[in-house]
Amino acid sequence: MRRKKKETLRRVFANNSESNDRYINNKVTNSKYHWWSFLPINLWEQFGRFMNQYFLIIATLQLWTEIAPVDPKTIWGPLSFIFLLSAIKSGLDDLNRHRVDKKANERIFHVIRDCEPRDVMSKNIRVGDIIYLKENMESPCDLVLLSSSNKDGSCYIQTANLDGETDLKTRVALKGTRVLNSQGLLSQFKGLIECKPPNPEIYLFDSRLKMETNDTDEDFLSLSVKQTIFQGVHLKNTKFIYGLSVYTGNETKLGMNKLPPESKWTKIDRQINNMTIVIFCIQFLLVLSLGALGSLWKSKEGKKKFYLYYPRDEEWYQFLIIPLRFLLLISLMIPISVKVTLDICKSLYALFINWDLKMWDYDNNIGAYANNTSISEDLGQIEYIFSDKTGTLTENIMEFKKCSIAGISYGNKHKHSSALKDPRLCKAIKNQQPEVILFFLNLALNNTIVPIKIKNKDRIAVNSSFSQEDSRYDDISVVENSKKIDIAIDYDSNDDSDDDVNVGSDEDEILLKLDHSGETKKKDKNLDSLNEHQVKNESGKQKKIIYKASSPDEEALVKAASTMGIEFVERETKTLTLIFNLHDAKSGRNKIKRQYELIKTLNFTSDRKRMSVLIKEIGTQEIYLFIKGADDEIFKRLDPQTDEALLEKTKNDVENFARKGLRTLLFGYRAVTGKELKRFLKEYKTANNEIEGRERELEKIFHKFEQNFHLLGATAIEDKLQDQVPETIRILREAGIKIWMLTGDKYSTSLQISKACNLIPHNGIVYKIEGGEQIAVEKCIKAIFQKIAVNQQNYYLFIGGKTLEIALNSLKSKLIKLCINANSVICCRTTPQQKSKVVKMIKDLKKMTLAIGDGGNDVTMIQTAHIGVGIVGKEGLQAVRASDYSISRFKFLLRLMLVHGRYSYYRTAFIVQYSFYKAIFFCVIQIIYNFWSGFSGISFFNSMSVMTYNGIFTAFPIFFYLHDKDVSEELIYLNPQLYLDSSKGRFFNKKTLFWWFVRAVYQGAITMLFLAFIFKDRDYLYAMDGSGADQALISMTGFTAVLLLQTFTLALETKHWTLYNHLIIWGFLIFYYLSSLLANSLPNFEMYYAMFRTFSDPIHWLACLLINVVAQLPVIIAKYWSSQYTPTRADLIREKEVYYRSNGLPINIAHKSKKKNLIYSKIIPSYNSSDFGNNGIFDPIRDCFGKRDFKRMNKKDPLTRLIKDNIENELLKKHNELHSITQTNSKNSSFNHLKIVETDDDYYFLSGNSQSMFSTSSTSSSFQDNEMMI
Amino acid sequence: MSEAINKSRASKFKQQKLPARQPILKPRSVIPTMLVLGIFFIVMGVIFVLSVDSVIEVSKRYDDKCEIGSNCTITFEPPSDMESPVYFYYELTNFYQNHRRYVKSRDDTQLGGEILSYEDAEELCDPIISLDGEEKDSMVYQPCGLIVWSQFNDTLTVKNGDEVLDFNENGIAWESDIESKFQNPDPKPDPDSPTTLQSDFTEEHFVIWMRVAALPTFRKLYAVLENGKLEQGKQYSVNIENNYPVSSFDGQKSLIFTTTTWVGGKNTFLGYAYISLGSILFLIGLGFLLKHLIKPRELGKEKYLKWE
Repeated sequence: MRRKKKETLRRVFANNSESNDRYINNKVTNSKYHWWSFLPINLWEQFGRFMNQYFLIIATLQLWTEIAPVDPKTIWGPLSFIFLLSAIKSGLDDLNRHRVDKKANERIFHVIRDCEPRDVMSKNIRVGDIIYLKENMESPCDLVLLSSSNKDGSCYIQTANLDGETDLKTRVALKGTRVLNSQGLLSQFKGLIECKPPNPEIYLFDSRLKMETNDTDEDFLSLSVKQTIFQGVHLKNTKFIYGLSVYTGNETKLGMNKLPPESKWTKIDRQINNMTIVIFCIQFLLVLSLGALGSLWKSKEGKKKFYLYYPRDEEWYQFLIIPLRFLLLISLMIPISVKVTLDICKSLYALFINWDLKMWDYDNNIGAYANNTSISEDLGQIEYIFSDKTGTLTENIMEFKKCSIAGISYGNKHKHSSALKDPRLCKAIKNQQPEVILFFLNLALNNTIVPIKIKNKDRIAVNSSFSQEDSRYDDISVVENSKKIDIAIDYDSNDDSDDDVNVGSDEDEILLKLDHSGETKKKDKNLDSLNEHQVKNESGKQKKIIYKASSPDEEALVKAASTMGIEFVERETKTLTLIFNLHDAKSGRNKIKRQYELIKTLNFTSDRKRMSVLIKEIGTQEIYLFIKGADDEIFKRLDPQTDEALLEKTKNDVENFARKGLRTLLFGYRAVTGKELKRFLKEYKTANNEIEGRERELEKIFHKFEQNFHLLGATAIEDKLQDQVPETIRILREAGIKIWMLTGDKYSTSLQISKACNLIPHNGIVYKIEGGEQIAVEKCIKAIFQKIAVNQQNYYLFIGGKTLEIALNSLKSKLIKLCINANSVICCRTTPQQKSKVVKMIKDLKKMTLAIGDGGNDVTMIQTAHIGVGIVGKEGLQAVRASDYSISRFKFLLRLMLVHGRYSYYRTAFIVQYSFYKAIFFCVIQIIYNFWSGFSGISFFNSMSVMTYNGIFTAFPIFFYLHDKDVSEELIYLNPQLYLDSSKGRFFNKKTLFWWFVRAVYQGAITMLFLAFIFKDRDYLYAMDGSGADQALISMTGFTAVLLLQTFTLALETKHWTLYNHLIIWGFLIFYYLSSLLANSLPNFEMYYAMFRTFSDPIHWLACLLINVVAQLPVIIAKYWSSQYTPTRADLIREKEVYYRSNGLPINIAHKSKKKNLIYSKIIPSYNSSDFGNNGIFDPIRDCFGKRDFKRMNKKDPLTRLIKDNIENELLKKHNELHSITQTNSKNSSFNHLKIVETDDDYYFLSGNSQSMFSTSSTSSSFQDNEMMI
Repeated sequence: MSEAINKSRASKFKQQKLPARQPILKPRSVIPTMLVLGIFFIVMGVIFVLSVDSVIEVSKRYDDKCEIGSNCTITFEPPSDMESPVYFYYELTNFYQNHRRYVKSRDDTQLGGEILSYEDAEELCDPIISLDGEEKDSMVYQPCGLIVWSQFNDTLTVKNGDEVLDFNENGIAWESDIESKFQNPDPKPDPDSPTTLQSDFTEEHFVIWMRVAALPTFRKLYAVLENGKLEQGKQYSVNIENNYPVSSFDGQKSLIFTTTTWVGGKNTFLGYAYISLGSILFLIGLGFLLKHLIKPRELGKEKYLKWE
């Protein structure tokens, strides 16, 4: 708090609290208000909005009785209710935050400060304290790891709170500090850490440490992310650690990243805003003109009327009074309730999404979830979808399929055969061919996977502890922690006793338990099939190894190696243990344990596109550098003397693999001499000690070192398409949505996948924009334009990342023109930043965009688009956290947009327009009445009516409109073009608004004019006692007519009548009659006794009937005529459904057009029957709407059954026809089963890597290795 | 666990699967409704017009025939027999009882019998608050306000020759008004005090005057002939004590005698409105029918679906 100037370098002294005094303490505050500041801050926030300011001004003016048309309560009541409601909401939210903060702030931690151990509350922790953390505890602030319970100074952490990744990561203390693992030693520690001022970069921690503050000669040791434990991180599988706190409170990485999310405005919100401004202007003009008329009448006429008793001299402000009266009278034109109504409706839309069982993934038991509850309408307005490929269109479950070793391609017998079952490969392994062994050695060693040993017994124990285990979001108390540690120790001892593999290491064996994130919890059922690998060891006892991987590709590779007999069993900080389980010529099967020293890992990044490990075999002391990476990266790093034939062969194989849609990787190795190693390590150390520009220096050194490899071979991994992806894309496209694919993958695999998933038809014309320089790109674009001009056909575009960058920078307008005319655009080899640039390019054209992805590399794109959808995938939860909606499968996007989006838009459009309509209608009556009252600004209705009209009788009945549907869900699927209604904004645009406005003015005028004619001097007298027409009577008759009119308007606009609609619409009318009779019998009300008289007067009923019929007649005529003779698509489909249903006919509503028959007919030929569930038929209802629910639905809903039966029959027929065709053309059967596989080099193998994709600078900090010196 | 969640979610409301009907405007329902409704409205209108026709109304303007402050007599002759009850009204034109300044200038609690303080009166009764503008509670007008102050004060007596007809001036106001809305204060205001504008708050002409009219031309009930009748051809006279000035605001004063029917007085508008509306409905219905017969559109055919 006492920081005077901006910090440039933070110097943290251990055990010297005085010198760290200027840094803030560790009090975490997420709350916005204190109890004393709640009211002012909250009110200030609420009055920041224009609408609220407007209402406040109006309400304040109401207090001036001279101008208030009605009782001020009528506006203060609803206004304060609205304010109270939102104040309560934010108050409760804040109370919750307070509670969480308090819990977090009052945790007790054991720290060492000024050489003294003590227990302090989390909020009192200071910079420079040495903190003791036990297993499963959450770090209270950003720490630099000094030592851990492990002698090598390592520990495991889970960073889910920080970046959403649930896998365990290792952190390693520096060699110098790792010995300080007791209180006594640490209280003598006088180190100094120099680091940057607080910053939000969670993958960057460039700083250095000095062991002794006083020793000026001593070198600084460099620190990196590898030594940090940030706030919010959980310590796992490590008994304890000591760490020095460097950033505290809200200056931690977590604190700096806690920016409030930018609130999104939907298109309708913006339209409402514009409309409000327009109405405000109309209001202003009305106020001016009516005010002028009023003043004119007053001076010309009013002064003559003795009964008005106008004084001769007036106060100066009198000229303002009439305009102000009108301002208040027609201020209701901007409906005060619309915001509240919309807020309630929108949260219900979000709940409908959360509740929807048809978006429930029964395999993983995850439903859809709306993180952002206020933008559902935008889901109905999407024109462009930007999709990621891996994990979004594909499953992201990797399977090792083929490989090519030393020029020999394995598993190439036919399309689906796996190399692992290729007898030639088995033979090669048996013969211990050196290249093959090295190849698999590379597979097994060159990764960041952590193998976890689990015995059956442990598994049960671990599983049972799930329920008590903390989930990510829970806070753990210290008491709970100690319990857990006990359990962990139990495991340890058990493990020691019956551990049959002799590890041969003095280090304590770290038994990794499963990580207990929410995700694993959900998926634990599937663990057996997914991650586990069974191994039989010598004693025949079963032992399982789970590979904890951050990338499924790596997992597939390690598993493949293990299947071939080279099993990766254990990772310690610098030792990797393999078990060779190979056939020996003499003794049959033979198990050999081999250990390798991991000298250095040169991590994967998206820029490097390669990864290598520097390995020393313990025993033989041979040093190897293994590399794997993208083909172009590896090919250019090969030994120039590599055999041309081998090179050619491998290149061919890789190309073949890619053509089959497989993800390819190349592998190489070289031996490293001791001298070379020494030089490399020295260079590495110098580079690593720099604070600025360390990344660049390191990259230079790596580049120099990673050369002259011997080619080992290539692997090909299959990534399956998610189910229903082609159908989903087809339907989305029929809905008029353009779908682009943005992937980091290479051209050939992207093309394969886009063909497989219907993005590009098999005979589609594909243009590729190429060129590494601006001129070339420009030329290419020009050429494409020429071709398009000649061909005049639909075309598809391919752009690579580099070309894209150039085109975006200098040829944007041309690129845009080319892209928006293309049927689809596929961008390959793109970085996350490029993805978001592409989205922004389209967004800037005022098109509504949606981005969908599953990985961290999609986060920027998801945040850029109008709507971000995250797929709950295997790559952590980053995308989901950044997204507005999360779903678990790509196919659910269809329902999210076509059903929820369209309905939300349809409903909101009505509710908004209706709210404005009824407000304007009411004001028109008030204005016209003033023509008969000398423009005096009188209100026709009494205060009670004004209040109840807005607050009750028109506010509540529309709520059930949010269950309204113009066509039923099934029919939207069958006729995806209906989506155009919402995406083109047909329910809410200038035209519809204009008609609503006309309707309001017409009906308001009719109501008032007819009332005036009916109740004019000669015409009216009350038949029972002859009394004349007084104001109370007319206004009550008028109000009844108005409410009837509104009720019938609502009834006319409701298209989907459920029981509740009836109840609420007619119920509120009955409620009106009852409540007005009640008010009628209370003498305090203005309308005391008036209602009895009104209701017993036949003129009242005749007037109401007349007014209603005259007011609604043109509306009904227009509606009838348009639905009959100029019907919209929705009208027709609705009509058809109703017609067929009422006649008991089967509903064949899927439209037929000249070009295509059934919309699904095209889907069938490219799919084998086995692709469509049990009965072998693609069933749009079952498959798009979820499985089990359909069964339930089917029983009860005859309509669904009808549709289903009908489509089934139709499809069965088609299907049989096609079968007969395919049987005759058996040669042509290749299209019958298209297996979709994918290669992708936007893989994120390494635990540190997927992180680096997101730090905004392209370089990453994950190069640092754990080992500084040898 | 997930099963439980799903069960709780499986309600029809949450799944948006409530059973529903989807009414549409189709010829089969719209055309008959219009025709039937048209006929119904015409019939209603005709009945209305016929019954209104039986109403006999006599209207006589008198402000142009009488000097202010004088007594004068207006004679009239019923065009046919007027059976009781015969309602007797006075009518004012160009009188904006609904003017905001006028409507607001009253205090209902005072009229309900409470003694008003000056502060309350100042707020509610502006500009007729207290005698000589004195700011004392005791000087507040009883009752205060413009409406009271400008009360219609002509006295009207209906005579047949010299015989005063039995026009009842009681029981003409709303019962509820006299019973609970208007109460005399305790003590009753002194009729001679200059602050007293109305000495009896339950006086029925006053109560009727206090019920402001909605439109600038209005009638207020003055008396009712409950027994007997006004005979055709006979000369009746109304004796007027002409006090109320209307010329200053270009107003007119008239006397009206009328009989009633089940829909009230001589209501010409409603009947013709019903007949016209009925005819319009019928004609449009007919038009729709012709269009539907000559060039119908089959329902539920795909050929009308045009796809983009």
